[in-house]
Amino acid sequence: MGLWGALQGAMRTRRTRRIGLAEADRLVAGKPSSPDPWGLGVLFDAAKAPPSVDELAGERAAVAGFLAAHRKAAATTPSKRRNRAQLRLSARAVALKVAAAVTVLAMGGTAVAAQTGKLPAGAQQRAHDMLSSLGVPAPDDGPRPAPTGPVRPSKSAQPSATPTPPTSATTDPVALTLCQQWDAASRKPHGKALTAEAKHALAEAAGGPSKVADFCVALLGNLTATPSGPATTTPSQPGDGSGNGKGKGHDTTRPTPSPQDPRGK
Amino acid sequence: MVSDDDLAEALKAAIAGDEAGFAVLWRSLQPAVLRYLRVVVGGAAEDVASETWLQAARDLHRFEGGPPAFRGWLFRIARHRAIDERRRSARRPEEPSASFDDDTARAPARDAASEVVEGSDTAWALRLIAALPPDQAEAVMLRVVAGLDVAATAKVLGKRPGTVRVATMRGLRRLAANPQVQARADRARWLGDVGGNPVGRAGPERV
Repeated sequence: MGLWGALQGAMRTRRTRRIGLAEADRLVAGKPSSPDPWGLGVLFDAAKAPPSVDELAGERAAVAGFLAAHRKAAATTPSKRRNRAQLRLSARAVALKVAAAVTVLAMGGTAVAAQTGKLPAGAQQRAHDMLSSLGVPAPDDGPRPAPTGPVRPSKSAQPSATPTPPTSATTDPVALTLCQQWDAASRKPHGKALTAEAKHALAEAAGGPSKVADFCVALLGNLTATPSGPATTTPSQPGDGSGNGKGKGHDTTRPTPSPQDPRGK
Repeated sequence: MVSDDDLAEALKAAIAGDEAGFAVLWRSLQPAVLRYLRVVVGGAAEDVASETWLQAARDLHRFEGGPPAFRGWLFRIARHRAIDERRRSARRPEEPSASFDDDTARAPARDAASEVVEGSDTAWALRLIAALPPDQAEAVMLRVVAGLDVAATAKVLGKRPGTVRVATMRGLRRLAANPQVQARADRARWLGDVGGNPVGRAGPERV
């Protein structure tokens, strides 16, 4: 801006009233007391203008991420989303599910209570949703219909979803490793971030940076369904080691032995 | 913008695992999240927005409350991811992260997108707000664009409501003194007079 502009601005500021606390509240709420002598309405309208196409370009990736996250959290709850997203229950999904559930339950120290059905209804339902394949019962008067998994607190856990064969045969080990790093990084934002080179390589493999999420979700999802994959099992996250409840279910539902830590590389 | 009633249904569905419900939430809130993050972390906004939604998707089953609470919850996640991003980029100042941002990897999608956005009124407004001191910029974005009230904004920022109100007021004073704002407002007024439109509405796309 030039001197002239600054001068004009200064003159105008003197001419108009100074914005006070109450007026500021009204202005940001879009309800100025007077016809806005400051011209801020124009600025605010521009700032909250309807979205451009580009701003909404990532919807598919976001929904894919949501489906993957939800699949992990409640892999055995039947619902209509199943017909669009093939449900793949796998050792990895179970491990993650257990880790997530243990984290949630450990907050109240209630993992054992969950197994014996002694949680408040809400928490019990949640525990059941997450751990139904491991034998956590639903609350007695649960509002939702119980899923197909075992409902009594039995030790004979069984995955109730049949793994579907992978849709894509390409399992590039490099891309896989990168995706596992990406997955770990997005899961633990405080941990190690992807290096610039890794990001670059991943973007290239995926066909663009905006496609990374889709790409990795698909790749990791496919892989977990193939027992012969090189590093399909993810051990439960370190740090939630208080895990009372994860012992039994963990062992009985994990089809593939020899877990490898992808972060260990 | 989607009404809170519609949003409430979508929220309920999304919590139950319905992808259509989640898509509605995303479509109605992603623009505000992205714009807030543009002001806070600039070029990393898209990545941080993705991280924000991934975390939201993971934790959604634990969320309880209606759309206003959800909005606050989501922006709290966005802010934390933005803080992480700033820590990350501070930790690797020498790394060629700029090359990833700027050249081949991003070029196709990014250039076309940024060209459109650069020229828009929205980008102009966000640039002006981003030029404010950080606490004022954040307060203004959360109040105006995210549509949070004082209490929710204070919660997101971890500050007292009074502090938020003062930061907002100072931000508005600075913006009101900006010659660019004045010029646009004058133009809008002039065009409003000519076209018979009410004064103070959004300006025209181009001149």
